[in-house]
Amino acid sequence: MKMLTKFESKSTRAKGIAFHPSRPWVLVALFSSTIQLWDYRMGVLLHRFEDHEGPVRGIDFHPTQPLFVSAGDDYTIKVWSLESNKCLFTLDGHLDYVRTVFFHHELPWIISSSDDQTIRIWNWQNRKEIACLTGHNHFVMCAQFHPVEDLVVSASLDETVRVWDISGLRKRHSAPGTQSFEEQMRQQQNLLDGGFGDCVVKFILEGHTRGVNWASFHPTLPLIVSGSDDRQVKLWRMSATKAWEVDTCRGHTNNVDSVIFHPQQNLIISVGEDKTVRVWDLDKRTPIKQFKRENDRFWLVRAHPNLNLFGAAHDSGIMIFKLDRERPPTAINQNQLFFINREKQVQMFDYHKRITSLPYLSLKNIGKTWSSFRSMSYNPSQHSVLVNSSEKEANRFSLCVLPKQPSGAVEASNVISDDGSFAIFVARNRFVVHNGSTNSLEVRSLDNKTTKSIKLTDTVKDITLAAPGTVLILYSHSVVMMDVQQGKILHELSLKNIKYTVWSQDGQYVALMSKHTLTIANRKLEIVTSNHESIRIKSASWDETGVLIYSTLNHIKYCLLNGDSGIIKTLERTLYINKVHGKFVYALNREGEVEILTIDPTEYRFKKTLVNKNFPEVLRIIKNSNLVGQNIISYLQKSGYPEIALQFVEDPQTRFDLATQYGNLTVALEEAEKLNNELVWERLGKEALIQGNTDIAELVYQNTKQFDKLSFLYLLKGDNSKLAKMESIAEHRSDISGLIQNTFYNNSVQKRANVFLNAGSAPLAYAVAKANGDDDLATSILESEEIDEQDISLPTELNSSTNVKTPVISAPLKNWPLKQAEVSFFEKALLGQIEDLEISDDKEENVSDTTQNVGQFDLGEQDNLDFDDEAVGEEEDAWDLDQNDLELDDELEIEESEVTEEQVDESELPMWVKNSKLPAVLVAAGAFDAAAQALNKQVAVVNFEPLRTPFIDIYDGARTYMSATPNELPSIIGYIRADADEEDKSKILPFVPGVSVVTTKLNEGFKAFKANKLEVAIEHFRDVIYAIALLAVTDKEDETTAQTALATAREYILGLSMELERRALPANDVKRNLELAAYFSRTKLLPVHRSNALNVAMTQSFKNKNFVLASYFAGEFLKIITSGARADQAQKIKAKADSMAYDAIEIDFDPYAEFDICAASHTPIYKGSPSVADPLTGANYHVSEKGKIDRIALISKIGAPASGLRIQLSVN
Amino acid sequence: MDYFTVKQQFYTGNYEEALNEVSKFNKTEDEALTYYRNRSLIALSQFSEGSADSGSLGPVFEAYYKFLSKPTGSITALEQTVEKAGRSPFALNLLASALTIKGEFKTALEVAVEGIDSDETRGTPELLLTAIQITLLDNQPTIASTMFENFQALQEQSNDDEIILNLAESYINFNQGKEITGSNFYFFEELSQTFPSWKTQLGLLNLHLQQSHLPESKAIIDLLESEFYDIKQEAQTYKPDLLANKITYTILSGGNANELRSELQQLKPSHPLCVADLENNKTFDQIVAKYTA
Repeated sequence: MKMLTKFESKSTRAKGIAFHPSRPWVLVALFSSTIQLWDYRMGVLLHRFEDHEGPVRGIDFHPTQPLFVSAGDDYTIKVWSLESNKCLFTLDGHLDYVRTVFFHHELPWIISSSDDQTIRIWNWQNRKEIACLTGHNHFVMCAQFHPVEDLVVSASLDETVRVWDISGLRKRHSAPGTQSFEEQMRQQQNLLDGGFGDCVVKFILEGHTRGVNWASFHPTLPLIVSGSDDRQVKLWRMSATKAWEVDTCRGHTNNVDSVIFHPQQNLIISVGEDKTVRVWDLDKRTPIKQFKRENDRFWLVRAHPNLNLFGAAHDSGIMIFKLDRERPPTAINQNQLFFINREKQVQMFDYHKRITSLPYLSLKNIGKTWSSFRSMSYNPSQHSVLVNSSEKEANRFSLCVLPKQPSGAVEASNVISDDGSFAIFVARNRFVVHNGSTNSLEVRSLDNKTTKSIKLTDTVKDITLAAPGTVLILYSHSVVMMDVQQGKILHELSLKNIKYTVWSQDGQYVALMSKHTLTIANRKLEIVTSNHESIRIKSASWDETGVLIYSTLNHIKYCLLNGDSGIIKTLERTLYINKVHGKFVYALNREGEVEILTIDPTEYRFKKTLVNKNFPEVLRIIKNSNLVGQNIISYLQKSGYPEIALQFVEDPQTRFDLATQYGNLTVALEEAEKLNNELVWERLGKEALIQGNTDIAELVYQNTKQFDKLSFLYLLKGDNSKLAKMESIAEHRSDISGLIQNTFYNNSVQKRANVFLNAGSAPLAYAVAKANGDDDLATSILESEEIDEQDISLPTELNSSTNVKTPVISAPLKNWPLKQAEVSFFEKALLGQIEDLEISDDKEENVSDTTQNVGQFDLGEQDNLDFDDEAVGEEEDAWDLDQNDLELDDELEIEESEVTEEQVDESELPMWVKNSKLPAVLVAAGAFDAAAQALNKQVAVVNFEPLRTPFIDIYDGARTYMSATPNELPSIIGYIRADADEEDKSKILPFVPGVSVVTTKLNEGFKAFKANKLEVAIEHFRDVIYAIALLAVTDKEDETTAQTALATAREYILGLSMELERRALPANDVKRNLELAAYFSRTKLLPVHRSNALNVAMTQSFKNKNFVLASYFAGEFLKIITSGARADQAQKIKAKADSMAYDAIEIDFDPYAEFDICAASHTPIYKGSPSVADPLTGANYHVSEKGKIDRIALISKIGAPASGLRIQLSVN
Repeated sequence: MDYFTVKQQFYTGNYEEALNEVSKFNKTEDEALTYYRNRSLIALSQFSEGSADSGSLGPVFEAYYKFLSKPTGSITALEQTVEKAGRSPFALNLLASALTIKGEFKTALEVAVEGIDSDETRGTPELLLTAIQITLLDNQPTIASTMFENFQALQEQSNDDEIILNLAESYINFNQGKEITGSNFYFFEELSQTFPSWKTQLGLLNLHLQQSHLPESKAIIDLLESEFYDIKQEAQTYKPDLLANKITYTILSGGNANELRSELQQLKPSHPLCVADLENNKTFDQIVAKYTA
């Protein structure tokens, strides 16, 4: 057991403490008259409540309402609102200090105890005192309601503990509507009497020899615990009629001020003025643990109503603590999570099946009873676990082998336990353990023998696995990666207080977690990124794409390798993540149960693809998910992907901002038109100019009436005509300066001179005219001003402007691209410029069967047929499925002994043969002769050649070759067994491909049939029969499947052989043609395939004017194909044929007679006619064929005596 | 002397690294180093006449190399050099290897046992490994187990040799179908992670095949057929075994293995799979003839 302090507050003396039932809040009643409200998770003081005069002693949260109650030395009880943080009202009545106050768990009641020797019960809804319990003859130090029953327990300095029955009070107050007038009167009277009648003393518990400070009920059992100034903790038991002292816990060296039961475990927790918190075993009343503060006396201890947390008030504040860790130890092996539950049992959770196993083992007897395990490690090779228990005195580890199958919590046996910490498996036959006394890391074998010892330099905090044979040693100031086989330090990283490490699935990165820092490092322990968390980090796991998903006390978050992180989900309660796959997060809660949470990975997937610049994927995510929000937009903008952000936005201003940011003028213009304000135009104009997009710049200047800029723009473009227009516009607007400007641009001398003249500046006008050689104008100016030319002195250097050049280009410039706004990959993708870009969500599912229908067979839209699903199992009549015992065994015995003789040693092959005599097993064992003999006996196989490859395949398929050392030696053979886990020697058998292979081959046959490759199809169907002849199945079901498949293959081979014969017929042999077509239609094909045969028969008959038969085939066809073009055609044929109703050619086919078809001659064998069958395929023949080779599979002898094929393994 | 890394690299099939490690010692007169150096060179097909070191073991390797170029020939020359080398365990190892290649398992085992039982302890774990393989090839797995257990019980093992003994044990387990899903599987899984190479990947492939893990097997086959492995020096040495296992894989997954068989036949007709197929075909010919008659 370990006290883990979670929070401490510093203040003056704390006398009371109360936990909020759901939020991480704690109220502290201080001796100084203040009440504090703390968020103990964040360590923040939320509020101070000041209204009491003098010390506050009692404090309690309401279990459901946003209220709390306090009481103190000012004799008052105050009820406060958590919403307004104000005192709602005060309950007066007590005549001395009030020691404790508590809410009732369901009724609107408050109970208080006071130095006035009374206990009072109040209704806080109508703010009335409803009962006053008198009887104690000294201060009442504590009074509490029973958690469920109508009882009160009180403790007093009169040295007694009293139990009160308040059921009368409940009766009176719970149903006020039903009260009669008299009752109400009596109640009034009763109240005046102090409620004596409603609350009666049930038991007076005497035993303490000094004043009693505290008494608490057990949450479920009829027990009471009390603490007293006699330094003792006493346990009391009560029945319906009496109560008695059970035992005393002695140990406190000063007054015991408060004592409670542990809400979940059989423990008592007491605090006292001897400055200790003590934990006692409730069952044995023995001390388990004590924690001492140096200077502070404890005044009160309280348990959290729902969580495994305790709070204690002492002289300089409060402390909130846990007794022992709640993190279930875990170890992951492939798809299995091994963990230790709350009952100290090892369980396994299967990630694939999502099932938690029964417990494998109970570890109750390992380590201390009240201590949980610190960590565990799993060894798949030995199927064992190492568990570490850490105690102050000694750290120990235990190696326990798990039973093969979980069958319940059996006690661990054959446990190897030893001193040492952080034991962890590093290889299939080695583990390391830290030896604290020598500060060395010891490598040990599974029998706990030390094979290597490595001296360490610093105090080790923990050891975790890095890779097989490599560990991470966590020191307080660094993390060291060490190869334990060589005792060599591989890498080192200075990092403080790392508590947990998690490796990415590819082993390239490791997340190193301290309480508040998450650091990601690579394999060489070089920091990749580091994030600080204000809330404690609890656990982490990498998802399959390399994103770290981690949990804090209250959130699930993600972190990318570039440091980007964010919240995915808020947690109600703390969880320990152990695996993330897709959108599923697997975590253990503190009860030791696996929870599967669903998260939305879109956001981090999106960011990750963005970071990796995987734009097609980015686009795919955008198109297929509903990723929105300001958050993602600002992220994109910040990360320099405005063009992507644009995809998410509709707001014109934001779109405009994003578009200008990456220079997308088209979008910017679009949005500017919508927004139409000056600022926007201004920015657009600037951007357009920067890019040299004069068209848009022009538009902007026009819209914003920036005439000067517009003119200058035209000048730049060399657009004289527009300049001229600008000139006239300026004139029109009487914009003199603009006009002059334009005359310069346009070099329109006359205009300029006129402007000067009109403005009364004749000298300037004259000078302009004169300088530009316009003498006529100059003269006219002189004349109008009546000045003589002589009187004017002009500068000597006067010549016409040379600054104006005639444009060298004939037409004005269009755009002059300066800064090309590059189209990003992403935009290209959007514009569809990238080839092979597949963005639809179902890209993998779209692969359809492209097999084409050729020739006569039009199979419509039937998909590839799965044999299992089709109703092909209806023709098994031909088969006798019963397994007769065979007289074959005698002969096989001989073969077996032959085989055995070949082997000098007791090895694999004789074992196989011993365990089964099925042909397949014999083949796998290399006993070809015996196998051949068996097949000959069972199904009269005589032509073995076609079975050559199946034989050799089975032989080779049961072997694998391992390279020898050195390699030039012949490779070593390993055998492949049917069940790699089988240990019972009498059940060991070779692996032989099973029914699934048969089904696959059958489907290949169907495929070839569909593709009209009839010869190929026949080959496939024959392979089916060969595979079945050499099959070894374990159950009846598989055997039936195989038998059905064999019959199916036979029918197809027969049908297709006839169809091939028909196609090879000379055109003039119409009769045989029609007969074969008719017989083909009688083979038992899958309905969809049979429709083809019927189609052939129908069309052939119709074509050759056998209308009656055509009508018959059409009718049969329509039974299968009921709609569509082919059905319509059949309907037509049937109608037409019916109207004709005669057969032109008589053929040997009676549609209404029962007959088989001879597989050799392809002629009918009518019922009752003599026939013979083939022992393997079951095909029928005319008796004349007896003794010949079967035409279906080509290997067996028709009509030969045989015992029947055996393919089901029987356990010897 | 600490040959830990040399042995780790050699036995996990990382021959170039093994050579590197050997060269770090800067010594020529050490039998063990000579042994690993030359073995690695042979595995990398880089051994050539005269490239063996001087010292007593050098000539044995020269003779062994000559034998390898013509395995059907006589081994008298090799035997003589082994004599000269004082029949040290390392020298006997080469002789036993040669006899094994010739299929003379009984004699080979006698030679190996001679070395293991000798007073000289250096080179005996290596020889045990060879001896174990001989007994397995001779189809006597029980003897292999006994030898292994005796060796472990009698000899003081150094940390260096752990890999050799583990390998020996894994051959026995592999051949006897023990620990298929347990320690033998994890042995190769571990090795293929810590020392990825043709040899360790193939070993893992063997164990996956023994468990009929088809997707995993396919992944390793694909990996070994990737360029990274294909261009390795030792690729040629290990390709026949890859092919053989690919044949097994193909059959297990219901495919047609005949093309692969002829490919292997071309590449290494002496491969046990080819030898077995040949035998089986002959037997089958007889069966065909017997029932046709």
